Amino acid sequence: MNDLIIGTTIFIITLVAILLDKMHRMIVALVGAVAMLVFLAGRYSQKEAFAAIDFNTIFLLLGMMILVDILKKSGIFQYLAIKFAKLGKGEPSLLIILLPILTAIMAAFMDAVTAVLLIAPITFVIVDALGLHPVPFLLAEGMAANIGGTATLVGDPPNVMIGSAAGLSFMDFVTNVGPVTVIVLLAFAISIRYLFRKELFILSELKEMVLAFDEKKAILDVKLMRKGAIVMGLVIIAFIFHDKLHLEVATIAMGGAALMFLVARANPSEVLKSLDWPTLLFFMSFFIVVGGLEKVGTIALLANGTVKITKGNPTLMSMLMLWFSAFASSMVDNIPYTATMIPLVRTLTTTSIAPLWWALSLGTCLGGNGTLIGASSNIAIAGISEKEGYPITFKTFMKYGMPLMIQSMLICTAYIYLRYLM
Amino acid sequence: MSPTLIAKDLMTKKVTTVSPEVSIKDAALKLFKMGVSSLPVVDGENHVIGIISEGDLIKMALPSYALEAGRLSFLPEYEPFERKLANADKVKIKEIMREAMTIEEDEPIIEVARLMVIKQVRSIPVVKDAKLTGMISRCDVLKEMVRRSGILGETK
Repeated sequence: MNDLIIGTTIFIITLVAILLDKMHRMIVALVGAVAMLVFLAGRYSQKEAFAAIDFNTIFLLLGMMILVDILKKSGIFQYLAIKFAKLGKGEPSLLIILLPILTAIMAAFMDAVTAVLLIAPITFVIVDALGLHPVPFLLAEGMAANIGGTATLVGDPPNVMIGSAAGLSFMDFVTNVGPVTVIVLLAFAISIRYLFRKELFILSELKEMVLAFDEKKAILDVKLMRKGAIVMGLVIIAFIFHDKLHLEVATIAMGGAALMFLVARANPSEVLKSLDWPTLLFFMSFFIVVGGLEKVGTIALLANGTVKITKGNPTLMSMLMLWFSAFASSMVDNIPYTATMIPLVRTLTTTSIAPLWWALSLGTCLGGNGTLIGASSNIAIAGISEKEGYPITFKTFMKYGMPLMIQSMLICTAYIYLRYLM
Repeated sequence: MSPTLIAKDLMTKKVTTVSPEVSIKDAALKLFKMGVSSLPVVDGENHVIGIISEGDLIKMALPSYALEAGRLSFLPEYEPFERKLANADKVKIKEIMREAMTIEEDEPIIEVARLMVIKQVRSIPVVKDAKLTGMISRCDVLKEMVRRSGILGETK
């Protein structure tokens, strides 16, 4: 009983401190992890804590970060952005669909923040050259990145964590959350175009200018671009067959990183310097915090409570999971949220309710679009925009984000119900 | 063995400075006129309160995202400078100046050279009792190094 109170208290303090955002979340989680080990000394061992860290998640993220960091130096993503801009023939109402779709595709295979940081600046340049207001484009890209990340196991950290914990493969995600993500993305594109219809006019001679862009001039290193694209292609193929190959996704990502180092002859210390270590350490620390929470029995209590409230009804549990996850992750960082929910769902799914995992994935990933603080890619977008004198406030973001999030949740509700529960 | 030289021995004593209240435009004109790459910003009592360089002004004429967007050769017609510099005669230097790194008059050349390499600055304001007494540039340091090495034969 005593341990239950200690563990739960440390967890809640950690979570609140992350939410308050006064101190970097990595530092908060590290303090929380150490607190769990110190205050539960003798009951929650370091060995157990390290076993609670999901290294499949950590090494998948690390491998993909290395891959993308080397590949992006070729200029390939700017090249693609210009290609996509030209596909729309300079028509702003197509531009606002095509550039976010590119962002979504990229985010399906890399971290959403990275996708946004690659595409937003070049978008800013293009729309500024066309005399368009940049904010609609940036908002659309930020949200599209979250939608794209939902589609695959490697796209968004919650999916990586869920896949790893539930033993779900890359193709399990593609076939289960993939289809609904495509529908959500298309509905999103139509809505975005409608919402910003008044901002999308330019002079016809400017359209010519877009068509005259030479995307080849955005390439920084042709050889690296070719080699890198091949490595990335191989990695994606390996992801598709990873369960048949009996390889975990982290193994493939590390293999891809190793291959990329070999073919690009990149300097390791330079590459490693630019990786997002704070996020990786945050992950590890928070896994330790949740490991403690599970050890003291709080998770089991919550799981029993959920079963009691929903009377074990799978439809009710799935819908509750979907909508609760969406609103929770629109306010809270989705990494700690997922890390906490995974052991809970694992306890619940002993009665084999598979849609609960998909509800958790869809709710958590897409919920990030609800508010400015719901996803780190939203914050990244706001940062880029503010630097140039176009601040995106919490209120502005929510005005578009919340209805679009609810739209995507309605689509998911119908999908989960029709596919799994009927 | 030549005597140890200090910053004071190499610095240029006649320094062109700007006041923090001067506009960006006037500061730029001063840079062009004097043919220097940076200007120390000083208050009424000759305290160094900042520095402004050509690089800072070029950076100001670019939108911040342009620095993150990769190679921009595909956009020859894109010249946002006019818009970015539209307020150059209204914005004051104090709003965009950087914090200046200064160096004491008695610092040895080795330290001056180290700072120039590590901090990637072209010139450093030299101070005594917190007041500006001179500027020391990469050229000043390099000239002394070359002179010492004797590779140019006996100059001076």
